[in-house]
Amino acid sequence: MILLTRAEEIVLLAVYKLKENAYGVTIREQIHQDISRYWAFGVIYKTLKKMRDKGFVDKISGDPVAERGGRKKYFYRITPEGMKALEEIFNVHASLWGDMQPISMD
Amino acid sequence: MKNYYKSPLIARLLIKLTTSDEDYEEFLLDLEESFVLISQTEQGVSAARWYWARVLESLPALMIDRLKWRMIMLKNYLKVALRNLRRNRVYSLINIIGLTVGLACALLILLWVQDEMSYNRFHENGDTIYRVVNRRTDRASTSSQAPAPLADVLLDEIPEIEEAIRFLFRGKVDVQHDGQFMGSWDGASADPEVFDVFSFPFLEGDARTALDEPQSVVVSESLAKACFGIEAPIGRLLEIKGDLLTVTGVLADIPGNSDIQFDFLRPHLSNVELVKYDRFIWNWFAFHLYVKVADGVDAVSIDEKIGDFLNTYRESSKGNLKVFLQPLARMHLWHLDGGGPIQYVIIFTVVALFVLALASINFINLSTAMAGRRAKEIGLRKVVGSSRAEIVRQFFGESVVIVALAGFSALLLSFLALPFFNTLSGKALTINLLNLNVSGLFLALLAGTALLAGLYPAIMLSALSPVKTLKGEKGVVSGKTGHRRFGMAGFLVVLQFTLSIGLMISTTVIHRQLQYMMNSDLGFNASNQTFVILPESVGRRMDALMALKQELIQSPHIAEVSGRGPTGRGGTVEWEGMTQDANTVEYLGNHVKYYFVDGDYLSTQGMNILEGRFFDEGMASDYQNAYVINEAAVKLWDLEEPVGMPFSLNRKAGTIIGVYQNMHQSGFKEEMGAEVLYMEPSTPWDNWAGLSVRFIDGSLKEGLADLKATWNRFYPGQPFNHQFVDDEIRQAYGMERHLTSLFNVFTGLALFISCLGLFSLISFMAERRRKEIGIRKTLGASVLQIWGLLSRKFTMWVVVSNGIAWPLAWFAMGRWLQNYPYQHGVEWWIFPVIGIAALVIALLTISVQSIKASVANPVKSLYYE
Repeated sequence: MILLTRAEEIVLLAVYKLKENAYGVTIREQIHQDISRYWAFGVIYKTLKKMRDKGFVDKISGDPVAERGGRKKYFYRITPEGMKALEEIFNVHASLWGDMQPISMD
Repeated sequence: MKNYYKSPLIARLLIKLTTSDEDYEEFLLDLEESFVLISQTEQGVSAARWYWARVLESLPALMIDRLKWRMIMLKNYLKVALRNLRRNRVYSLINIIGLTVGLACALLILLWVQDEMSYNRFHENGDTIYRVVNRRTDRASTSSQAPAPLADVLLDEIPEIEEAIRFLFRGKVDVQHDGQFMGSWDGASADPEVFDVFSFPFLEGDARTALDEPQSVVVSESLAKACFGIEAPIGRLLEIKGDLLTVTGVLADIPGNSDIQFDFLRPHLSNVELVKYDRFIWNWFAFHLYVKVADGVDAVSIDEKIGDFLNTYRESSKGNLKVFLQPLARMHLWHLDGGGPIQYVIIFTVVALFVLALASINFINLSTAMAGRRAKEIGLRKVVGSSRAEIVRQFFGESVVIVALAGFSALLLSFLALPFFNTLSGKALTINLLNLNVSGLFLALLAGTALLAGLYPAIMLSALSPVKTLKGEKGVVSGKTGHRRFGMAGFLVVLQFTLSIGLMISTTVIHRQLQYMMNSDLGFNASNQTFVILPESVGRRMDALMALKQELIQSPHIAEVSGRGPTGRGGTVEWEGMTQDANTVEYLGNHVKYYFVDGDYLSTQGMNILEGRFFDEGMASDYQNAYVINEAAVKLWDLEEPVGMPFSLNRKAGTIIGVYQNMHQSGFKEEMGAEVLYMEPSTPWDNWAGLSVRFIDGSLKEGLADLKATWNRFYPGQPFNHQFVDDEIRQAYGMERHLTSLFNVFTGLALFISCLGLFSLISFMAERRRKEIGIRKTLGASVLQIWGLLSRKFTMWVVVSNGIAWPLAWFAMGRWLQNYPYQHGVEWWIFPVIGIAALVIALLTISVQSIKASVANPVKSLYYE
């Protein structure tokens, strides 16, 4: 079992949620929605690259699009291994947190 | 779309520099998309700010990733580089030795140059200080000496001139303390504001007020030590020229790189000195005048205003003097009438770069020659994904490693060679790495060499095609590209030998010129002769001098003694049948040098009388109105029948009784001028300069001892100063002697480096053609044929080098010789002799390897497992 790091988990979830439309800009926005802060592009690319090496995401170069002045886009898509890794991390979270009462601050 | 703003170019460049190609494109595209959106809704400035912020916050993550890979590759590069160094031990060693020698040479020479350039630059106001000089417009000769009142006029008339300082240099002056003679020291006087302008460092005393009192003196540390020892010098008294002066300041000894030198400085004897000469004051060109101008004032604008000052203010002016300013910083390197040390600075800088270039050429040639061995490595690197830039970086890095190694050993070598270099150059240089100038210079040298030597091989090697190299295709390195490369190697070897041969020819010419000047007939006998300088303190009366002379003659070791007066320069000369106009007469008079002698001067000097006779002490009339002149005077004044011709010097009428052969008493560096000798009857104001003493051959030591003993008996406690005449002449050639020895060394090293390069090239070639040579031998080629095969090309290169070097050297040395009034000329035989010598040396170098290769047993080279 390979556990995802927190950064990988956040980025991979964003890619998963974005489905067909996951690329640099949208991933960054999604992460912002999820955790309420903007990440540096560099950090996102670095994490994506690591996960590509592990086989959790694929990088696909899309067709040239008008909004980019006729240049192409690089899309990321989650692989079955990526899905498995997400499932695993979900299970880990569930078993870690499952029988816990909400932590009170007092 | 309201507005469209372009994303910041610099930010984009920054991404390109710090990120890998793949990330780069994606990053740029994503950024661009958001940027366009933002710039549509917001102001362009904030969009740009957004862009910058995204780029900067991303850098750490992107760079760390990339640096990690860099480090891994660097480790690999270093490993491969060290393996290569070790595998090609001989070649690596040749490379490093060559570069070491080249770098050390360049460092030492450039230190010398730096020292020459540093002259007079230590004054804080240096940029605004100028020397006031004047040029004779009717002939190109410039003088730095000016009359005293010019300073006042400059201050009054030109508001931009803030200070004007007059120096009067007095040469060696006797200094006494408590009635004790403390030696003769370099003395000068100056205006009291001198230290407001020049920043000579004060150890004690107040620079601003030091010279305010007329009876004050500022002394150098050495003088203070010599007179007062460890006691505090301030307020003590010194007796100088009969005046009692109070020491008001102590200066650190004036650094060697100052052209203004003195051991003590006193105020002008203002009223006495300046007014005593009242009538002549505008004609007494004895002061060295410096001005400080206001900040930011252009000297040219002042030049325009002061140009005619010496013509308008001098009553006796001929309107032929033009005053102008020379920057203090230029004073040392540029002599007023052209030339000066700047020539040597240029020559040596060029030589330094030559030597370094030679070493770099070896490096280039060897690295490219060995490309064949590394073709596979390069091919493989490319196949597994190295970009060309990476390969360039790798090979360049290897060069940097080698240059750094060589730099380190060059530094060691320079430290070791420094004492020797100082002896050769007559300087006292140090290598102080803490000095930013020195370490900066050295680093610049290293960087320059690394670029020069490393870039070409890196670019050439990275261009190899991976497919061809890996297929083992013939001709990747030795075929087409190889041909081109060999063309390059040939070109570089020719360059090397051209430089070496050129240097050898130049050295020989300089050497021959020096020899010529040292061995030419001086017109008198300079050996075994010394000149005893009479200090003022002994009085310079004739009767006392003659008594001393009579006493000296008694010594069995002394052959001749004669007295002479001080040398006068420039005067009025007239002779019968003179046709020149007033201006020319002044010109002719200005070139005359005259002094009085006694009757024994002829035999003491070993002069040659060409016409007429010398003075006869027995003839009373010879004391009154007889002149003896030299050949140069006859020529300058164009005299047809000099002997018996009525002649007057400074309005004292007489007759020329004889002509003597030119006496080159200060050597052959200066053109011989007109000289006039006369005799002076004894008078109450006698002013003899000294005695010439000739010792009997071979008893110089004993004679000198006798001379000193007699001196001490006559003048107990008085300084005994003497100067051997031949020493003095040798000293006049100091620059040439230093130049010759330095050139000798650097030429030797240049040749050595070139031969190293040749040696490594031929060894490499012989090694690569081992099989070919083996086959040729089995098919019947003789040793001589093989030798010829290997040597032919190299020999041709050296011959071509000769062809290029000869005219260049001939031209350059012709120019250099123009500095000398007496030239030996560039002898034709030098060229073939040096050419053949270079060829022989090159052939010997080649033959060591080519003979080894040609006698090798072919079985060994052809045997294959």
